[in-house]
Amino acid sequence: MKRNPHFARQLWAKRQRADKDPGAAAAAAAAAAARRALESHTRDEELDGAAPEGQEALREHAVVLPRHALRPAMDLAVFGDDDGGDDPLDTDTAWYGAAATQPISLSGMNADGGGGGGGGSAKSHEDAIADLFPQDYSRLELKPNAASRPIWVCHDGRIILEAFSPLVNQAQDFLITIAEPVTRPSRIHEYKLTAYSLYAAVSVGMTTDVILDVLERFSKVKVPDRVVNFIKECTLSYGKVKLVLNRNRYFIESSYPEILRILLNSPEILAARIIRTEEEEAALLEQAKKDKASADASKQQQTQPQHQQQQQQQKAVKSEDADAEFGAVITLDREDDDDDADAVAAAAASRGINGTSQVLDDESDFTQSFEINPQKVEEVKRKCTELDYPLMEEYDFRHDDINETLDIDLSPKTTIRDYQEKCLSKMFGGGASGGRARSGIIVLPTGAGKTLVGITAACTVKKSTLVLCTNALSVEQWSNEFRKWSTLQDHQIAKFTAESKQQFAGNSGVVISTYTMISHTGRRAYDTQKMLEFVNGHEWGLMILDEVHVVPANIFRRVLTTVAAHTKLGLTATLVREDDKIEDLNFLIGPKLYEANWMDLATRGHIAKVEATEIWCPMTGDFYQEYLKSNSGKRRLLCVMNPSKFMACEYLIRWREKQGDKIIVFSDNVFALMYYAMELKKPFIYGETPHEERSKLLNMFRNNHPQFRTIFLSKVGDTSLDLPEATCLIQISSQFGSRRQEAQRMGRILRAKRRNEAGFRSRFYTLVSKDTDEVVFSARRRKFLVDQGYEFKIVPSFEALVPEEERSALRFNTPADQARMLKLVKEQRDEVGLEETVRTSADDIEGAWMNQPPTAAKRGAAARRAAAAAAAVAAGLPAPQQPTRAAAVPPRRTHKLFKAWQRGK
Amino acid sequence: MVRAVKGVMVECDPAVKQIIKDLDTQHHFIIEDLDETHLFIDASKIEMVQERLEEILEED
Amino acid sequence: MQAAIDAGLSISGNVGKYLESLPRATLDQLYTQPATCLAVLRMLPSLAKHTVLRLLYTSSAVRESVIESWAQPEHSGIFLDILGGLSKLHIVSLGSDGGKRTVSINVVFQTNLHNALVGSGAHSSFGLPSESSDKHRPTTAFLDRYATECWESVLHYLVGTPSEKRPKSPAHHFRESTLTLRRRTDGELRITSKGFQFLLQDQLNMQLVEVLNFFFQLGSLELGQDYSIETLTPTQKHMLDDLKHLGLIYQRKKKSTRFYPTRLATSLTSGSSMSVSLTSRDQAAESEGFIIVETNYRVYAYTNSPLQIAVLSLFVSMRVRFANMVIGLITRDSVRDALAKGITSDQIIAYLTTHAHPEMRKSSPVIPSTIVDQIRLWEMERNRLRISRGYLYQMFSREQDYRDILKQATDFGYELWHSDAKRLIVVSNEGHEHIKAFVARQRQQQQQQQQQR
Repeated sequence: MKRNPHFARQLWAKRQRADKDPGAAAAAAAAAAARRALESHTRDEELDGAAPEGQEALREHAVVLPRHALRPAMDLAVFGDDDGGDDPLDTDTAWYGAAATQPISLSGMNADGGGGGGGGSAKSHEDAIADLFPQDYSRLELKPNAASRPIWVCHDGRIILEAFSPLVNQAQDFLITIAEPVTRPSRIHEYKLTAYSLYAAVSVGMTTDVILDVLERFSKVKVPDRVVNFIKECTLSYGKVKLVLNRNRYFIESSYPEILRILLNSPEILAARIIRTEEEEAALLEQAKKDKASADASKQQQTQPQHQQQQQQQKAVKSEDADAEFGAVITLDREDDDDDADAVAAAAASRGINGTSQVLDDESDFTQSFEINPQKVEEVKRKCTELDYPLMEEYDFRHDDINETLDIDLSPKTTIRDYQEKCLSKMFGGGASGGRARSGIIVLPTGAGKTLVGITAACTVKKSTLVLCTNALSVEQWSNEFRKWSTLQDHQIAKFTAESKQQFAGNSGVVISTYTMISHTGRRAYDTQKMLEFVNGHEWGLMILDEVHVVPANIFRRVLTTVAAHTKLGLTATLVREDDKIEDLNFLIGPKLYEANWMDLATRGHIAKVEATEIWCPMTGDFYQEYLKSNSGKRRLLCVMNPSKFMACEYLIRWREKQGDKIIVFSDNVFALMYYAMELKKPFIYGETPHEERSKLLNMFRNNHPQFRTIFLSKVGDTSLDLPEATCLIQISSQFGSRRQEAQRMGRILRAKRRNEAGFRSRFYTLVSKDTDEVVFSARRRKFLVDQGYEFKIVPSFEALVPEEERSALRFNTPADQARMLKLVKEQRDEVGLEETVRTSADDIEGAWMNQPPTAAKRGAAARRAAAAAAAVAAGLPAPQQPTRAAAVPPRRTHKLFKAWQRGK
Repeated sequence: MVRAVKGVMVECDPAVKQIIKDLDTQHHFIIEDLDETHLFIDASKIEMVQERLEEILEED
Repeated sequence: MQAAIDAGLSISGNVGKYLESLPRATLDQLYTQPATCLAVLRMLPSLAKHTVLRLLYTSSAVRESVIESWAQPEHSGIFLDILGGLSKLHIVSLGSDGGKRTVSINVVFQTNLHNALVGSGAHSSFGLPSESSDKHRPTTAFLDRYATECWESVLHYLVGTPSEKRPKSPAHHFRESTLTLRRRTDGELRITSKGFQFLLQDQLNMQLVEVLNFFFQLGSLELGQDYSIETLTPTQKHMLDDLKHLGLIYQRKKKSTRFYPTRLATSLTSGSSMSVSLTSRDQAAESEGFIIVETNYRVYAYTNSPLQIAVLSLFVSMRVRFANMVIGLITRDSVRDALAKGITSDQIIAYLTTHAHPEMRKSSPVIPSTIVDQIRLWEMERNRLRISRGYLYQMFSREQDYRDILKQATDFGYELWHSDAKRLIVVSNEGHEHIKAFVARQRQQQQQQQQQR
C-alpha cells in the first residue's frame, strides 16, 4: 500500500506531542558515536594489552571503525579511477593499494598477534616473509574442510572465489547480489563488498542475517569481525528511510521519527526541506484534483524550478528561525492540530480509504515524512548516505492509482534469457517487497539484450515510460525494438528528437528521446518547448536511461531534477568511467543491481567469443625522428599515419575480408579516418556525415553489399550502433587510455550473428605505433576487458604479422612512399592530430561532452579542417596550407563510392 | 692504406637509433652512422648511452 | 673444492654426466675409495649395475658378443648403450682382440668395489663409528627436523629472504661461485641466475660434487649412527663445518669429536630423491602443483611454505597472504626486478609451469599464452641494443685493399658489418689483431713486389 505522507504527518504530530524531548536526537547521535568510539578504543586496548598466547591470540583482531573511516578506501577500490598507477599492467594498483590507506595496519597486527604457535623455525620464517605482504591474513583461522568451501574473505571486504569449486554457481549468485565483481577470468574471481553493493543487496530483499550466514558458510576462513561489522552497519540502517515521489513532489519518509530528526539536524537536509503553509498545501491538493479531473492533466506545468527555489530559500530561512526558537525540536510541517481531522479526511478521500482507520498500510508502522526540494534530491541522498541512513527508493506501482496504467505486455513470441530474468528479479525482487520496482543500474555487455531488459521492465511496471538515449539512431532502434518485442501500438510510442516531436495518444505511453533534447537549456523552438513541458509535467512510472556511462553527470542532474520518475533504470555495458563521476550514478539513479559475467555469456553463446590482438607497428627512423621533436597533437597524427600501421591495416582488411569477415575500422582521428578510407577505397562515417547518409551506408554494410565489407567509423560509432554483421574490428587510433571506449568498441563485434558457428571468434585488432605513448595507453585501455577475462595477444612487430610475400603488395612499403606520407603529415597543422570532437546534431551526446563551448567550437573546427585536408589529399589535390582555406573547403557530403553505387542503381 | 678506429658497434631498431642520434647532439659519441640499424660509437660512452636510453624509453 | 662447486653448478644434468666429464686420472683416483665405487654402482641404471657385477669377477677382456648374449637376441643391442655409458665413466674400457670387440673392467674400480662389497681394504672409507657412546644421542626425528631447518634456511638465504638464522659458512661458497650476487648499494645478497637454476632443480643435483669422495662416503653412512672425526683428513674436517650448515651433518658442539650424518647425507647417493625420504613440510603440499596464474596477471599460490613464497616473490609482487594461499601480481616492475638479477624469462615460465596447479593443467598451454608472451616481451624490451666491441676500418686508399680485407674478415668470421657503398668494415676485437697481421704481411708483399720491380 502506498503511504500518504499528508496522512502520516498528522499522526506523527500527535505522537510527537506525547514524546517531547528536545535533545533526544542529538543525544542519540552522540551516544551512537560514543559507543563506536568506545568500541574501537577498547578493541585497541585488547590489542595492546592482551598476552597474545595460544590459539585465541592467533585469531584476528579487528578494530571496529566508524564506517565513514572505512568507506572511502573501500569505495575507492571499485569506483576510483586507478589509471593513475605507474604500471599499466599492474592491474589493480589502487585496489590492492587501498589496504595501505586504511586505518588498520596489517603489519602492525602481525606484530601484535605474533607471539604464539608454531615451531621455532616456522615462526622465524613467517616473520621473514611477512614483510613481503601489504596484507597478511595468514592468521585468519582456517575452517575445517576449508578446501570444499569456495571463498576467502579479506579484512578490506574483498572476496576471492574459486571458480572451479563445485559450489561456484550458488556462490556466484550470492556474491553478485552482495558485492561488486572486480575481476572474473576463468579460475579465480574477485569481488568487493562496498556500502553500495550492500545497499543494493538489502534493496533486493537480502537481510543482514542471511548475508552474514551465507558468507560465513561459503568462507574458508572465519569472516573477519571487521567485515561482519561493516555488513551490519551498511545493512541494518538501510531501508529505514525512503524517498517517495508523490504527485511530482518528493518526500523523505520513515517509520522511525528519531531518524528523521537526525537527518534534519543536518543543515544541508534542513535547507532542502520544503515547508508549506496550510493554504499552499490545500492549493496543491486542489491543483492535483484538478489535474486528475482534467483530460490533459499531464500537460499542466508544474511549479517552475526557479520559483520553487526562491520559495525553498524562504522556507529555509523560516525553518532556521524555528530551529533557533525550539532548539532541536523538529518542527512539523503542520503544527495546527485542529485542522487534522479535515486533512485526514481529505487525504483519506484521495486514497479512497476509511478516514478513521489507524492502520496506515500493510507494513503497519507509523510513518512520518517531510517534503524536500526536487532540485536538492541528489544532495539529500548523498547527505543521508553520509549519515548512514541511505535512502531507499521503491515504487509500489501495482497500487499506484494516480497514474494511468499503460496497456503493454511482452509479445507472445518474446522469450527472455535466464540472465535477463535475473536482472529483472533484482529490479522487481521476490521476497518481502515483491511487486515493487527499485531504481538502479543493470550492466550487461553489448549484444546481451539490454534493450529487451528495459522493455520487459516497462511491461512489468505498466505505466508511462520515458526512454533516454545517446543519439537519434538509438531512438530509432529503441522504437523498433519496442514494436518488435512488446504489444505496444504505434500510437502509444512517441519519438522526441530534433526531427520528430510526437506525443502519444491518451494518458499513458512511451516517449523515446535523447539526453540532449531533454536537458537542453538554451532557446528552443516552439514545438520543442511544448514537448518539454509535456515531458516535465508528466509523472513517469519508469525512466530508462540507456548507456548511462557516457552521460556527463551535469546532464543527468538536469534531467533527473526536471523529470519526475518513480523508477529509474540505468542500462550500460561498461560501468567504467575515467572521469570519476561513477559515484554520482549511485545517487542519481541507484545502486548497481546486476552485472553479467562476460566470459560466462560468451561460453554460452549469448555473445561472441573474441580473439583480441594488439599489433606493435614500428616507425621508420624518419618518422620517429619527427615524432621525437613534435608536440602532442602532431605526435598523435604521426602515430596513426605511421606507414607500417597503414600497411598492417591494409593487410588485415584484405586477409579478413577473404576469410569472410565484415570489418569495422575505428579511428578517433578524422584526418586519418578519411585518408585511410579513401586510399583503401572504403566507405566511412564521421561526425559530419548526415544522419540520412549514415543510415544508408550502414544499411549497405548490413545488406552484404560487396563493396561494403569494410566500413571506417570515427568515434560516433563507439556506442549504440547495432551492426550484428560485424565480425572484425581494427582500431587505428583511440582516445588515450579510455577503458570505457575499448569496451564499447569491443561491444560492436559481440553481437556477431555468426557467433554460434563452430569455432567462430570475432577479431579485435588494435594497431599501436611502437615506442610511442600509444603502447602505454593501449595497455591501460585493456584493463577493463582483461578483468572480464579477455586475453590480449601481442604481436610485437609488423614482420610477425604480415608474411613476407604479402608485403610488396601493400601501399607505403617503399621508402619513397613513406617519405611522401611523412611529408604529408608534416604539412598538417598540429590540431589535425586531435581526436574528433565535433558536435554533430542536437541529439548526439558526444557533443555534450564539451564543457567549455569555445574550446569545443575550436576543436570542432579543427576536426573539420582535418577532414577537409584529408579529403583534398586523397582526391589528389594539394593539401590546404591555410586553416582558413581549409575550412572553406566543404567536407564531402557523400562518399564517392556511395555516389557510384547510387548511379549504378 | 686503411684507418682503424676502436669503438663499439651498436645494432638497434630505427626508433632506438633515432633516440641515440638525439643523444649524440649533446654528447657527441657517434663515430660513424652506419645504416638504418647500425651505429659505431665511442666505447667509453656506451654505458652512458645505455642508461640514458633506458631512461628515455621508461618515460613513455 | 671451489672449482668443484663451480663445475658442479654449471652442469645441469646428474652426477653421472659430471663424472663423465672428468679426466681418466681423476676418476681412477676417485675409484680408489671403496665407498665411492659402491656409490657410483648404486647410481647406475639396473641393467648397467647387472653388467658391472657380472664383470666384477672377470680377470681378462670379455668379448662383446658374450655380453650381448646375456639378453634375448632381439634386445642384445641394449648393451651397446650401456657399455658406452660405462666406458665414459671409465668403469670399463673397450678394446679389440683379433678384430673382435672386447670389454674389460677398470682394475682400480674392480678392486675397490670388491673391497666395498666384501668389507675388506681401507676401513675408513665407510667412516669410523665412534667407540664411546653419546650421552646426548639425537633421535632420527630430531636429525630430520634439524636437516630440514638447515636446508630451508640455506634456500631462504639463497632467495634473499631476510632471516635472522643465516647460514654463515656456506655464504662464501655461494657468493664466490656466483650463485648469488652482491648488491653494491645495500650490501645484501640477492639471487642470480645460477642460484635460480639451482632452485629449479631437485635438491640432490647441486651439492653432490662438492667433494666427491667425502660425499660418496657420506652416502654410505648409517642414519642415527655417530661417527668419529678421527679418520677424516684436514680437508674433510674443514668440509664438515660447511656440511653442518647445509644440514647434512649434525654436531652438537663445534669441538665435538663425533658427528651424525642426517638423512640428507645418507640419501645423497642412495639413488632415491631426498624428497621421498625426507618430506619437508614445504614439499608435501606442492608435489601436486600449487600455482594458478590468471589472464589478469594475478597469481594465486596454494601454499604456506615460506620458501615457495619467497621464490615466487622473486618475480611476483606479493599482495595478500592467507593461511593456505597467497595472492600476488605479475607486473612489469616485478619481472624486470627478476630480470635484473639475472633470472631469465624462460626460468620464470618454467617455474610457473612446473608448479602449476592441477586446475591449470586442464588447459593447454598450462600458463596463459598472454602471460608467457608478456614476460618474454618484458625481457626483450631490456635488450634493445646489441653491442659488439670492435674496430671500424675506414678510408681505404684503394678499392682492392677494401676487398682484400673484407675477404679476410669474412673468411675468418671476424666481420661484423660492412658497406660496399661506404667502403666501411667493422671487425670484432679478436679479428683486429689478425687483420693487422694480414695487413702487415700484405704491405710487406707489396714492398717486395715493388722492390722486385
